[in-house]
Amino acid sequence: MLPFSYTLIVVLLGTVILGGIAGMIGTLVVFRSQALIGDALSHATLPGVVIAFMLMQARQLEVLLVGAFISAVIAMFLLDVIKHHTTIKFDASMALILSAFFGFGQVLLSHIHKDGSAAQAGLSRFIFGQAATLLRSDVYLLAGVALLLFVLLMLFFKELKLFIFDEPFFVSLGFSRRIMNALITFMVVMIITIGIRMVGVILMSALLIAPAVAARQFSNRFGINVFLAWLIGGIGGAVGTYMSAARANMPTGPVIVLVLGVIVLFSVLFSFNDGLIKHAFLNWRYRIQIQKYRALIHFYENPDKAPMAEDDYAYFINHDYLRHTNGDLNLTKKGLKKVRLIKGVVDNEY
Amino acid sequence: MMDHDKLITVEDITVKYDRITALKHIQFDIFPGDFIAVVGVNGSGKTTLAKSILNLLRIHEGRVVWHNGTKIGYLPQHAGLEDRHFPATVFEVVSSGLLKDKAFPKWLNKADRNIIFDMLRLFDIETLADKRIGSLSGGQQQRALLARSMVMNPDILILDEPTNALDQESRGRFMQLLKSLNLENKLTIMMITHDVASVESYANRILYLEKHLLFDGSFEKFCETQPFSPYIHTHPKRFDKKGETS
Ligand SMILES: Nc1ncnc2c1ncn2[C@@H]1O[C@H](COP(=O)(O)OP(=O)(O)OP(=O)(O)O)[C@@H](O)[C@H]1O
Ligand SMILES: [Mg+2]
Repeated sequence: MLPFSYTLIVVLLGTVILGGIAGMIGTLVVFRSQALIGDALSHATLPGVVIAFMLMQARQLEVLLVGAFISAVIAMFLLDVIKHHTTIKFDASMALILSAFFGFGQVLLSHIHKDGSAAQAGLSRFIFGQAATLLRSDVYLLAGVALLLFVLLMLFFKELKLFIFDEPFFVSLGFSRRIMNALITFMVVMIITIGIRMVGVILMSALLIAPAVAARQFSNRFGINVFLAWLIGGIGGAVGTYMSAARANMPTGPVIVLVLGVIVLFSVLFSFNDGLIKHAFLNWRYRIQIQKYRALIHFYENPDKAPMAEDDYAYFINHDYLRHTNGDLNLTKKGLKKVRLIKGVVDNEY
Repeated sequence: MMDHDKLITVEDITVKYDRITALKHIQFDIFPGDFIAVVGVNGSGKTTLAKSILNLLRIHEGRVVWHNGTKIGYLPQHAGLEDRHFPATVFEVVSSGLLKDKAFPKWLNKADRNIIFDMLRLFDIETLADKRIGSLSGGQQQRALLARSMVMNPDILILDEPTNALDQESRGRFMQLLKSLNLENKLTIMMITHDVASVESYANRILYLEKHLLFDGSFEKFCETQPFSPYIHTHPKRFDKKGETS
């Protein structure tokens, strides 16, 4: 058992807050079918970080994050321009922006390296993230941003939901599409900006997407989905951080992403919407039932010429599936229900 | 200006998609109590016109004015339900029609719920209230979206081929309903339709589009002035008219 040191508690707080809020915001992105946008924008922050460092000659986190934010906003703007003024598909333009910005960031980074600047090591932590060196002040910043995003999400929850579900209708009510797009972009860019320092630009999008995908398997209500994504993101952050702390030299970010990946895997298996396990179970139950009640179903389909085995006959009479009324053998209500249930399963599921 | 007795003014609009011009210099007003049927062949710009009125498209020239906060109920031609797994129930979808009028925190009160259930009953989908919208059939979804566009008590309903997913019986009942809403509740309606044969029995005004607005007026006038419209050929009324006049 690992003792909860001060440092560990700080890091845990950070990853839990980040995982939770990223999961909530990620739900919006996933339901907009824009899962890739998190990836594109987080990669696009890299040149901003490096340029901010070069211009300001400063290592303060806040300065670098402002650079990251601006860089992501520029990327978003370019995506918008491409969308409206060319016929390039949106996913292709995201891939283009992602690699162009990330490549540019790498070039700038190697340039600094050539200069022999000692700070280069500090900058490359933005690529893979470095949650283990989280400071108390970092957590305050994180908590502040998370609170802001949470309040925005709650204030505009119904609007966001309707906008994502049916944009044309939303606009026809007199709401502004531009403001809604800006709001969602702002939230995504903010969460990425504060997240990259911990998990890095490469893995950041997993924190957005994975909790939402897992949560989606378990609920038919949007609000509950958002809540579950918050919970799963938080749990992923906590478990990942704890596991990486328990083994020396295990990087926190990748372990969190790994944990989230496992949660997604299980959610797909055990989903009660259309999980694989549920399918297997229904299939199995169906086969058992069809064995047991085969004669009953047969009787339902051909009530006149259905020779029935003694055992079956006795069982169905005893359990009130069949009854003699006016000398005729008939299905009881219970029997009818049973047959319909089994046949219903056939119609619905197979 | 007499603008207070207009609901919507379409001021000389031209709308383009990339290089295609879909609407050219369209100009008309919508007055309270109008029942407008918008007709025209496929690709003539009917849906584009509806979307332009609703601010869903960029208008290249001219503008659309909603006079003093006109509330518009809109039924799109293709229900915007690309994601059949989106977690929203029929009840939630219908209730979203009330979103604009509610103040924060936008909780539904008893009266709202009653209105929503009235609408669900009106369109015969109350038993589906708790079903996921994506699990419904196309016609059922269309009813839900109709209920949504009505629940806000709009000044005007803009309907893009509202009956094309409805079965024969519901179609008749729905048109009856629209007619009585128009006559008794003075609800203004603009309906895009290909069913020109029955336009006469409800609409007081026809807009005939073919990129330009070729005609704006009553059905009677339409028959007289647009004799070569592809619609009129197939319309039995035309022959009646000939019989009368000759
Ligand atoms: N999103 C779009 N991008 C490019 N062109 C479009 C788009 N939507 C419509 N158009 C073009 O604009 C013209 C008018 O289309 P519109 O959908 O308004 O026609 P419509 O009258 O509603 O037809 P229908 O009776 O088939 O519904 C057509 O030539 C169509 O090809
Ligand atoms: Mg159309």
